[in-house]
Amino acid sequence: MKIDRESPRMRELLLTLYVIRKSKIAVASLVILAFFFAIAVLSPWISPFDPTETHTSELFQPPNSKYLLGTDHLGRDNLSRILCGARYSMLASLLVVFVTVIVGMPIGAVSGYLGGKVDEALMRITDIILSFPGITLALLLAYILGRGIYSAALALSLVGWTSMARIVRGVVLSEKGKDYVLAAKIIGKSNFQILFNEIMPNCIYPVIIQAVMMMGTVIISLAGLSFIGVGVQPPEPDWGVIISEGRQYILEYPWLSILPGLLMITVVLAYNMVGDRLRDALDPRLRGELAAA
Amino acid sequence: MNSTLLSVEDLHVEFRTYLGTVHAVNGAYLTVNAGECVGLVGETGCGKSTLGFSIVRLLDEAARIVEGKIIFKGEPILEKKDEELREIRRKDISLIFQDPTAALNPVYTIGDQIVEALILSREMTKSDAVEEAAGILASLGIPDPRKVMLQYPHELSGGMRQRVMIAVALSKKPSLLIADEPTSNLDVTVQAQILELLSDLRKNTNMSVLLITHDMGVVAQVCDKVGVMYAGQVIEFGTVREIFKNPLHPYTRGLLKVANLVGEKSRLEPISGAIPDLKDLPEGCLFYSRCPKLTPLCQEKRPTMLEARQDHYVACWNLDGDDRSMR
Repeated sequence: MKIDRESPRMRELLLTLYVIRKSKIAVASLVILAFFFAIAVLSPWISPFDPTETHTSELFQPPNSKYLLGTDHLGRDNLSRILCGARYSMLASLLVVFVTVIVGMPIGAVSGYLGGKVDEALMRITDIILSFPGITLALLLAYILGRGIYSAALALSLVGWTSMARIVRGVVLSEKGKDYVLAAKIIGKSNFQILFNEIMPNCIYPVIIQAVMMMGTVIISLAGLSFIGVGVQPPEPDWGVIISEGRQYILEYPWLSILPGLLMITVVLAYNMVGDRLRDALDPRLRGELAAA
Repeated sequence: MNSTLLSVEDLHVEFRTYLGTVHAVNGAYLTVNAGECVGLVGETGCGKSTLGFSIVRLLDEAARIVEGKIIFKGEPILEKKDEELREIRRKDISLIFQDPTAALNPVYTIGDQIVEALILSREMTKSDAVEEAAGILASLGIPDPRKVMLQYPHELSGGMRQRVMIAVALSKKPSLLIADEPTSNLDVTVQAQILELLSDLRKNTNMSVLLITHDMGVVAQVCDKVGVMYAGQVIEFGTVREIFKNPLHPYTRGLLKVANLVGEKSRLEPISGAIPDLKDLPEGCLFYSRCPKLTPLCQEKRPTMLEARQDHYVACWNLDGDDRSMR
């Protein structure tokens, strides 16, 4: 397909990319994220060992030529465990945020646009859900559905969509009072068309920004759930699980916990940096300034 | 040519607010014939926009039309169902707003917005609509319409945006165009261009225009007839020539004096006093507290529209002897 650089959408996209590219931190963060996603996808093939395979004669090995990052208390290869652990953090968080957007966006939009009783009902539901701490809900779900990454992800999605719905509702509320909505009514558009063709495209940027910002929180929460034992189950190697297991030996062998912790911080920071820059790059007013700067 | 396109009779609109019921429109009379340009003047907050939006039934949720009739093409607008209303809006009535920046969707290009309007109202195919849109833009004096069609609203100047909005409004070839202060946000030279454009269009298409404005000068420039509104009531209605030459209502006289369009050029002479509280209207004439020639009757009973002279209606009890004949 031929790319038309002159078409308006393309022009906009190129400008946004240009603004993002001007920030070294954002570019570095994007590279970091790409790197971790590559690891997440490729981990089954690039791990030197099976992450759950134990080598009972070689416990607590320091880094050496056979085990590049040493071994843990069961003699499992740390490098392989960390590589495979990236899978849960990177991919499961993506799934959670995806569900959040798919569920939260239309609910928030309908709530904001229709207002009245519908709005009242939907917002009270989100209030109720928001009043549960996410961890409590996850514990509850873990007991109902059984422990595992899926019930952890489900629990986080169940809580997460409410904040997305609130954001979209807020934007829709402010957008629906604008004259272009009236103008759309004047040309005879239906409510459905107005909400989804006219208003929603104006909500897309806040949603993207919120989604990116949410990724970091979700990664931390997922690891947290694994850490307390309701997320990924050992011997599967999630970063949270690795940190949790290494905790018992933190004084003698600190690298067991510290390395996955540092990696997690790196990823979360990278997401936040990208989100920050994206917010500026997608703001039509700031964008011009940043492009010129 | 002289068939009545739109008539508004004794329209009353109120807004329910936390602070009480605001009586925004209190007895509006208006007739628009086919091909005519009718001005609606009055100061800020006198209900002219509310009247305009009532005609297309696009009032705020808090507003209620409590009384009156709006007849468009012989059919009562107020009794229409939503579906029929949408059909009328889609095909027959257009509206342009004061602020063209807000009235264009920022995420779509100019071309997309006009093309969409064309497809919706005239059921054109996409490629025909693109051609037609370029044609409309060119006819509105936009240079290089193809390029403009690829641009976003924020990339155009205020005058250009207003033209684009007019293009969207005209795309359906409406029989009535309601223009709500279409030039108030533009500078004087652009204002003149847009007004000229509107009068040309009207002559070429036999479209009627209801021009809502606060500027008597604009009315004098483009309108055939004019209605003067005060505190939600249309207090004087007639041909522009007649009303400018022979204003009968004291408010209209004051307005014309302030606009400095009649009489000797003198110092600006404001109308003393303030408009009545729309939440708590007086029993009698709404202009009572500011009127220079009031009588006891004015305080007791609100005047209704009378045909004072041919094609000249006024709501005032104190007309000079000969000018008065019951409608």
